[in-house]
Formats: sequence, C-alpha cells, structure tokens
Amino acid sequence: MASITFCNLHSYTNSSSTALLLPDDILHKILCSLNLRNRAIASQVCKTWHDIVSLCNINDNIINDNVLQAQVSNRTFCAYCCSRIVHRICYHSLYPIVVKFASDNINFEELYLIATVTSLALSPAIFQSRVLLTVLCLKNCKFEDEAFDDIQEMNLLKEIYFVSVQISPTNFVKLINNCPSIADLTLINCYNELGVFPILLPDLNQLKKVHLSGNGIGPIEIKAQNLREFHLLRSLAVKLDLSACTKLHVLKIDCEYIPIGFPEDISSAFPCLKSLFLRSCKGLKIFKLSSPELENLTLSNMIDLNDAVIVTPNLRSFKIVDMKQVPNSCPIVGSSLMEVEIGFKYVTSISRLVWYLRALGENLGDNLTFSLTTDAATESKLMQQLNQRY
Amino acid sequence: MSSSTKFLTLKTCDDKKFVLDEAIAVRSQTIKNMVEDDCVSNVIPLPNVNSKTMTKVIEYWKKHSEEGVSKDVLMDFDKAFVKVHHSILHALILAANFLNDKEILDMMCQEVADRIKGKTPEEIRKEFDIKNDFTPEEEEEIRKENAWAFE
Repeated sequence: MASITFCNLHSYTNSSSTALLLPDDILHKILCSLNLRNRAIASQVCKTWHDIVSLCNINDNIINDNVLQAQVSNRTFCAYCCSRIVHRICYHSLYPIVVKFASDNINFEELYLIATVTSLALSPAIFQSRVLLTVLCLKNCKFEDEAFDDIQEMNLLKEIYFVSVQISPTNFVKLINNCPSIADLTLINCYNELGVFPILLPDLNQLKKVHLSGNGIGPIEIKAQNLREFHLLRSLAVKLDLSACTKLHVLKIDCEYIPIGFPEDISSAFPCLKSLFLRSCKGLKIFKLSSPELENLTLSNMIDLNDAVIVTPNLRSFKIVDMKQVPNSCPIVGSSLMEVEIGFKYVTSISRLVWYLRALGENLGDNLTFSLTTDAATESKLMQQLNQRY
Repeated sequence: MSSSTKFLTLKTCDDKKFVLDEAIAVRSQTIKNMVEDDCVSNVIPLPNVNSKTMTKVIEYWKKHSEEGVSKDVLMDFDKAFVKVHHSILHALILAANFLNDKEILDMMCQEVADRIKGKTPEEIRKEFDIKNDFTPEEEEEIRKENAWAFE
C-alpha cells in the first residue's frame, strides 16, 4: 500500500475539551455565511472569531461570483459585499447589482447597505419586487426622487434602520405607507434637501418602537396606537404629537428643549408608562406624574424644572442626576424602590441644597447614592453643614 | 446487489474496523481518490476520525444511499441528524472535512451558523463552550464598534 502522509490535520484526540475549536478555514466559511448583524455579534465572542470576521469582511472586498452566490443562496445580502462591489463596478449607483439580482430572480430578505466612503444613490430598481424584504438597514445613502414611484407593498418588512440617509418627505410617506407590518423604525441623522424632515406616521397596527435622533427632524406626529417605545434624541425644539400612543411603555426624551406640545400631565397622556427618561428639556418647568405603573424614572440636567408632582408607588429605580436644583415637592414612592441616585452639578447655594435634599430625600429610603460636582471649597463647607443637619 | 460489490475496510483512530460497500464509501472524496489512485490494499486508515463519529457518518451515508427514500423522509432524517451536542457537531465537521464530504460539511456548518443566529455573544460562548479571551478594554472597544447590531 502506498504511504499517505497527513499533514496539519486537527487531531480528534483531545476529547476532554468540549469547546468548539474548528480549523480557521471552516470557521471562516461559517462566519462568512452570516449576515452583517450576526457577524458583528459573532466578532465579540472571542479573539479568534473577531479576527476571522474581520477577514470575512476584508475578503468580501475581492468578491467573486462564488462568494456572491453563497451569500445569495442563504437568502441574505450583506452590505459589505454590496458596497464593495459598488466601489469596484459602478461608483455611484447600485443599479447594476440590483438589475443583476432581478434578472436572476433573486429576492433577498435582509438588506444592509453601509456605504462608508461615498454616498450611494438608490434608484427605483432597489424596491422593485422586494416583497420578501424583512429588514432594511441603510447608512449614508441617498434616495433618488423617483425611487418610490413604482413601489410595491412590502408586507413582510418589519425593521427599518436609516442612518444619515437622504430621503424626501414625499418619498418617506410613500415608503411608510407601503410597509403595513413595520414594527421597528429607527431614523438617525436623516435629512432632506428642503431642510426639516417631518415625521408623520399613520396608525400602523404593528408599530412598536420608534427611535428618532438628529436635529433635521421636523414636526412629529405618530398615530400608531400600539406604540410601546419612543425615543427622541438630539432634536431641536420640535412639535411632538403622541396623543394617539396611549399604550406607550418607554419614553425617552433627550433634547435640549422640551418638544412643543409635550403634556405637563405625563401620567394622563401615557397611563401605561413603565419607564421615563428626560434630559435637559429646557422649557419644562412643571410636570405631573401620578402613575402606579411607572418603574424607572430618570431626570437628568433639567435646568428649568421647578416642580414635579411625582406619585409613583411602584417605582423601582429613581435617578435624578446632573441637576442644579431639584423639584420642590417630595416624591411619593412605595416599598418597591430599590435604587436611588441623586447627583448635583454646579451647586452655588449650600443652604438651598440642604433644603432640597431634605425635601426630596424625606421618604426615599436607605438605598441612596449621592454625588456632587462642585469646587473643593464649597464642598468642604457643604459637608460640614450636611453633617450638622443629619 | 450484484456479485461485483466491493467492500472496503475502514479503520478509525481507536482501531475499530468498519466494513463498507465501496459504492457508499466513495461518498468521501478522500476515499474515492484513494480507490481511484489504486492505493487501497485492504484496510484504509482514518487517523483523524474516531469510531463514534464514523458510526454517525456511515449512518448518514447509508440513509442517503438507500433507494426509494422520499425527500421528506430524508429531510426529517437530516433535521434529527444535526440535533446533537456541539461536541459531536464539532467531531462531525472535522470528520467531514477530513473525509472531504461536502454534503455533510455544508449541512453541519449551516447548523453551527443557525445556532449562532439571534444569540448574544455571551449566549454563543455558552452554546459552544468558548472562553472569552478579551480584556475588558478590548471588549468595550469592540462592543462600541458593533453597537449598531444591538440597537
């Protein structure tokens, strides 16, 4: 019998270890078959996986038909490959690739496009026959004006993530109206040539979460009655109408100015609210929060806040941080309160601070963390006084 | 079966011998090459495969070589075949890689990919007994880099 030598083969004798230690080429094959989102998660598992994922992403740069075929056969489509091909074949338009897919009768279910170097212009073809799409994630892209002229209803589309996407208000309305199943809508730094970007969302039954961020956002009106979670970040003072969203569970407003039309009586407007986060919100002087449902409350750097009626018997976490002053009224809380954090910034008047603390801290229980940002002299005086009074 | 049926003897690393119809054994490209190159005398050594894994592989080969098995039955068989602990999955991948059986290899890799999907990094580590070898700083940096995937 001829002699056969086996080199560099992984031996299967080490049965004591059950860890998945696959040869790099096989691991590469597996991780490459994942979509971009799963790759990103896999890259955090361990060093080897991280390196191999990076390799997958680099390899897609020199993409050939086999890799493309492999991606397509898994019915997912990866942004890296796509944007890279665009750079090679056609710099400013995705059109040839989309046409190629259309001619091959290929539908992809998840589309991630992350153009890092240059803005991609998205032509109408991208939304033709895209009825199987479930996730649409676009970064640094631009929709052409006629992009949605022949749009078909995308019944399966559930998640939209747009980051730095240029889209006209008309096109946005067209897109949303053709996504009856949308559950999760994220718009970060989206803009259009006209300036402000109004967000008008009709009553979409499935819509559960809306995350808006960036100062290009114009008036916001959401009529989705089943909305559970709403975030508004880094926006200018905009008109906000959430009056239809009575089932809201999580509300986060992280803006310099309070949105116009924000209700003072928060608990009546959102009776199911479980978690509330407010930061800065200049212009909000007083609010009322009387809710048996609320579990988490965070108030941060609220410069204009004078008073707040807080009656929350089931509150679990109460954080009031980076404040100059605190509400005059003492919050009424119950025994569920597990965590309290109070933090002050730029305190000038010590006697007032002590007074605040007495008013606020009266029934907040024992689990209280207190922090203070101020200069050293004030601090020592303050600590003396605090010690005297408590 | 005709009288011309040839049998091959495969010997695994733990010295177990498997006698197998050549027509079935050549599903392995590695074995096929040996047969074609005529370098098979009596026993083919498989130094990288143990008997437990080989039993599974042969089970798969036999099922997929049976005549008149419906597609549905095969699909059910495949489904059950991959539902094993990851250590067996691991052994099967290495065996399929060594035996150069693309069909089993692809199926097993797909199964690993399916088990990765939709999990957090911590859940993936738990699923496959993988040790987290990042320093907290490195982990934080990578987490930031990929924060969009968790949004």
